[in-house]
Amino acid sequence: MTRAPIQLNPVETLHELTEMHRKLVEGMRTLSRMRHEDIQVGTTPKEPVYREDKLVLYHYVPVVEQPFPIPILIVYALVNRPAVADLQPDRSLVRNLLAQGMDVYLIDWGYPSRADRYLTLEDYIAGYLDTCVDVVRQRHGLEKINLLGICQGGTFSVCYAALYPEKVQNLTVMVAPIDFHATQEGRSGLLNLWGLGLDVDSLVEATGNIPGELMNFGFVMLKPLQLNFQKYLDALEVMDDEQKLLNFLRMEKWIFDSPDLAGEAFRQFVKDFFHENKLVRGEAEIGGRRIDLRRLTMPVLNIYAEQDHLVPPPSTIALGDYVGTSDYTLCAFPVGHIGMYVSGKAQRDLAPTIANWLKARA
Amino acid sequence: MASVEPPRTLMDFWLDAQRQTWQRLYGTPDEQAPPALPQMIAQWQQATAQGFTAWLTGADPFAQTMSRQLMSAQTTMLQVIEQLSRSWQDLTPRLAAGEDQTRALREAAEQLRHQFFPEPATLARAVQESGELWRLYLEEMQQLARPWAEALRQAPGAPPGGSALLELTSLYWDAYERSFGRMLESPRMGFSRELEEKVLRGFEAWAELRRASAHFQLVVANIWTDVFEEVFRGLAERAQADRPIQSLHELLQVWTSVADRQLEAAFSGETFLQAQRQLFNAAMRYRLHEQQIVEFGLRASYVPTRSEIDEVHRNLYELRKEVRALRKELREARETPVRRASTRKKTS
Repeated sequence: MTRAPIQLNPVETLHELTEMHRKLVEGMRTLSRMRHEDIQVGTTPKEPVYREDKLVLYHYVPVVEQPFPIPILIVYALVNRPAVADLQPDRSLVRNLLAQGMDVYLIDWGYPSRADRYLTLEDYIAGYLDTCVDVVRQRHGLEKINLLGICQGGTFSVCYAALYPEKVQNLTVMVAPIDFHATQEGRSGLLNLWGLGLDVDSLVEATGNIPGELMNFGFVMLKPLQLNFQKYLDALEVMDDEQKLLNFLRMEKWIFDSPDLAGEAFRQFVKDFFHENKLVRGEAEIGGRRIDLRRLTMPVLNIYAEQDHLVPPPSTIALGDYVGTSDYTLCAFPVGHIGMYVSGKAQRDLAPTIANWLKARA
Repeated sequence: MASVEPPRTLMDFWLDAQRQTWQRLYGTPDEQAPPALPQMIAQWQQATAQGFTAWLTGADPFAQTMSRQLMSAQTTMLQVIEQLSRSWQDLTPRLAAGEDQTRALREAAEQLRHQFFPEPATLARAVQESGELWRLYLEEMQQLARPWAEALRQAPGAPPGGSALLELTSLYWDAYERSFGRMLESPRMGFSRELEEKVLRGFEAWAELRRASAHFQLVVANIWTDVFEEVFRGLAERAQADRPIQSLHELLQVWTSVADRQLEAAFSGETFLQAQRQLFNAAMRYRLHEQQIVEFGLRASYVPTRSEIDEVHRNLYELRKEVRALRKELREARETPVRRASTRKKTS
């Protein structure tokens, strides 16, 4: 005799539903009182020190009297906004680095409009990024500074450091895709697989810039039920706690704050990196200059997330096989891609890991 | 911080809806009530949407979006619970009677899939009928042209009768109505030849997109059958192991984790990848054809086109790049004598 696998007690279930709805109503009440300023991200004090086109280079106000003499320049991805590194006061990689005595700069790429459609990877890496590095170098009177590249910004930082090793003291990359064809348990990452079939020329011709919403749709479809449905049901659990609800909303705000991507840069990134995996094959070129990863002769710290569903760990770990430095450190965190910014473990250990590693290589 | 209280009845209505849902599913007092759950959920959704819209007026738009998202998740949850529970109620006597488990689970999964994702058969049939396709396509082209055509018609100094594109698509429309598409077989000539060609190519791209879309939906629907089957299998295993699900939370956890695992595997499979590739690329190709047709009309109406603006942007981009490079060269040229001088000074 097969027993019923769903044995819900009507009275208890009714109570569960009632409780769920009570929380939802409470949450709606809280939401109805919220104003834009309540859901702010990226609030750590900072000042713009350089602007070019839509890019802004920020300098965070140090929190110690004598910050570490070699500043860090954070290079984030073109996808989504860099605010994830400073989501809220108690979930902020930036704030934690400042607390470790670091002097921190960050590039905000801005929101490309259709007029930016023709920006290439060369413009981003050998143009904007190089100029920002020069600005920081000049402000501090240094030949070299530290780079911290995150996600696609990590790929950019790797390319940049290989092109301009004379300007990079230490290179840290975090959850950065390097080998775009790396497999895990015999399978490629879903994003890589989806990217492979993409007729990127048609896409760019048809849309000009790549809509941020399209990118976001792809990301949530990686775990459709969890990210479109379960997440919101789980949120009900914190609906009656205003602070926790605000945390949830800040993350939501960040996730759906997706700039469009400059068409030409996207085309080149998909073709050269996703389709042809040129970076690890030593064939990638930026502005006619080949990117030779053996030119990464500075110390390299490579941090990856063990449960990363966007950038599979093998894709990041591969960097170690190609760098030219003997001072290479690989560091794993038992979290997912987003967990690198917001999980308790990362909040506690990530900034000290980076700061201590840099201090040992001043 | 002024907030509007929701209507008092909203909460009552909501809880009452939940109570009835539950009673209908599990045969508590209201067993004889007609099975009108879908309508009830729809009514509930409408009432709550109206209530919350009033309540959240003046709240941050982001908060409003979030509220809608939460309510949508709630509705989905109710539907999933309802369907899973119903399916299992149907399955239990079959399994108890000793029916083959694999077959029974598969059939139940297929039934469930049809409830959530109806077979795109109607669409597939429509794809076969070119006359019907032409009608749909021209209807779409007219809709596409109408907003700017209307704007142009109302613009000061605009020629009477609207844009060339609207007139030409109307021409197609009338011709189609008269001849049921036979005009397409006639030779193309005269002033409309270029547009005809573009519309024809556009139609081909559009038809390809419809085919790709129908195929994609079919592939996804089949994937969902596998997902439901896997969920049922998981439930059956729990039943056999005497580990029944005892809370809604647990049921939803099982549902989402099993489904996402299955979906991830299916989304990596060649069948899905091929269907996704075809759909996406067909959509882009159609969009390009659509742009060409729209631009034809824009040019005829003396309005700058997307391609022309892109060309301007490209020129600006290249000029700015050139200016930057020249500035850099100039800066370096200015700095070089200074550097040389300072080097000489140090040496001497």
